[in-house]
Amino acid sequence: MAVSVGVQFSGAVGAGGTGRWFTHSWPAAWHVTWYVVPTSPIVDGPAQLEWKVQATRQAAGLIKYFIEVKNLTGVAINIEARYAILNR
Amino acid sequence: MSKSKKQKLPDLQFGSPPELIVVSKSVEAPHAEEVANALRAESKPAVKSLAGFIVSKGLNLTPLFGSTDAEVATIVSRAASGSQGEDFSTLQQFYKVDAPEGSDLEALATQLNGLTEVEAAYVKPLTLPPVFFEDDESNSVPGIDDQAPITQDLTPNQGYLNAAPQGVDARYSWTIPGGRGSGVRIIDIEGGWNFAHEDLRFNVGGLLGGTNSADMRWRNHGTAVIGEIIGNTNSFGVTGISPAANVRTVSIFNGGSANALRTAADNLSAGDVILIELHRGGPRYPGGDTQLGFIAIEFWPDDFEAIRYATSRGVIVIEAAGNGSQNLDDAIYDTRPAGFPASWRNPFRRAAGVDSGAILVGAGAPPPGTNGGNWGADRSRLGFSNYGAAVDTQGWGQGVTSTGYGVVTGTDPNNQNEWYTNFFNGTSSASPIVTAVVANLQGVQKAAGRALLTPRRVRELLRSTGSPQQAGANPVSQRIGNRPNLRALIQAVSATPSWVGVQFTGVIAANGTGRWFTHSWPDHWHVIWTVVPTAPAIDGPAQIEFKVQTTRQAFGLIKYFIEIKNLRNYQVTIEARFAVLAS
Repeated sequence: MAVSVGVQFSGAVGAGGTGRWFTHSWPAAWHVTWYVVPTSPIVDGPAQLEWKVQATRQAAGLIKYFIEVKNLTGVAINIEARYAILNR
Repeated sequence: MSKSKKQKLPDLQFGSPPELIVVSKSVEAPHAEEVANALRAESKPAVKSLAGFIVSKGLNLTPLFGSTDAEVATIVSRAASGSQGEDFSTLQQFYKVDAPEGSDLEALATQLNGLTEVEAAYVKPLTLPPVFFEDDESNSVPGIDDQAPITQDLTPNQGYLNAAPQGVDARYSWTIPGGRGSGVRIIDIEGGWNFAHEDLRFNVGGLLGGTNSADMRWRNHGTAVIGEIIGNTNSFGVTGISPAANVRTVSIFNGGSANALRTAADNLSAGDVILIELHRGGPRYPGGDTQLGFIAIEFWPDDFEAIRYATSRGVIVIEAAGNGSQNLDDAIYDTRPAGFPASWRNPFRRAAGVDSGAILVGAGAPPPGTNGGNWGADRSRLGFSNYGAAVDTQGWGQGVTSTGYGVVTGTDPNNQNEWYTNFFNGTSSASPIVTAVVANLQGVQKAAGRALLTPRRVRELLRSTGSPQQAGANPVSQRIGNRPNLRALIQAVSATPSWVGVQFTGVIAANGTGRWFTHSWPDHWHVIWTVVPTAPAIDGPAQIEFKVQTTRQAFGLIKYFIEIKNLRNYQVTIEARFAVLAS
């Protein structure tokens, strides 16, 4: 079984803020996992972000994912939301 | 094929003019603004100040990385908050000094170095394209005795398109979605181009900055460079390696190389490509009409900063290593040239931590027999090519068929739009091959929905795949790296081997929270984390929950934090597992 990975979106989250994105119409049969990494700034220190994932069945056979990214720092960060389809 | 006689002209006559660069001690002092104010004021500033010196000598001072101090400050601010996130305030320290014609720039640099506000002042020698004019017919103009064939299909002469090890296997790449460079933007930095060429009608975006030189040596050179990359797919002339990519250009004339690099970087996105088709005389240049001692331009502090600015934005920078026959590992390149800032370090000594992020390209021999020539063993270092540990990869440095020069002409031998060559050469001809390979690779990534490759990853891939350098007149120990092989590269990026493991184990006290971090994971790895209890075994309510946090600890590296909460009133031991889904 092949794994397919990619970057679904990138964006910015203000200092101490939370950004929320959604992405829709993912086939329900796909096993999708989401993860987020900062793209900047480069700082070797405490964690810059955390995230959580929510999902809704938007239609028969389709899933909508919500990705909420929390900026844990005092400066704006840029992020990249990545996915992996584990069974594609 | 019509071939005309050549008449050799001195190489150096047409180089871009030397540049006098000043590095201020302050990242904040708006020296250009101070000069403008001083010119307007009746009372002039002290001659010992930078502004006073400039005014008193009748010079002109402009920021190197923008038209005004305020614009450079904006660029720096944007860089700090933008995708690259690094501190580029040093860009505010660089200025260019324009002096009246005939001025002794070296003498001015010496005087500038004596000012308290000046960290450094140096003269960048004239800049040339890394090609040999006696070999590439650059001085030739088709004569009236030339027979005029119709413009012919020259793709059979483009062996560099073919399967490895002869070529880079562009033909394979073209069969893969995105493998013609679709959606990838390239900016070529040099001096001149013929944008009206019949084989460059599509996907050429023209001049983005600077002035297009009218000198035929620059124009033929630039035309040949972009022909290798973007030569249009049709029944005549050449076909580039990346015919679906988009190529634009920035000229170093009327702005200089560092500003051209900054302009290019600001007009590209992460994953796009800059090609530097320049070199200039370094510490071993003996002077006179020779390219001996010419080296890659990242040796000069302002160009190094400009390249670092581009690569930190995720732009891939392909840089000609230069035609100076130099061992870039030689200790002479560790010596700081006069006038360079004290903070300068040899950029070819990457292991010491100084790294522009560029991919340096050397020139290797094509297979014997290419276009009727024999330049030695296939993939061996050509004698003129610079070499050393920092040279990442090689391309054909002789016998390259492309647009321009008029070695081959169409129906009208005087019509430059129908000019072609079979003998483009130098690290000049090698670097576009690598540029186009990278464009095709990024196009494949885009089409497959995968993350675009970072500069670090591209370098790593070029070093770990490809057809190996061979011994010839020069030994393999004089490193110029492998010749790229798109088939191997595409296989490397398409493979998504996944593996799993246990990163750490631990104990979490009753109702407590444990927090671990693990660092230096390559950012192109797609990593997911899971945590499971290992003891005690109790079939009841949930024992733990966990969350993952991330930080970008360094260029190309991610640090993960795993925070695990014990939900029970007894101690739990845990195991943190990872899965690398793609690398």
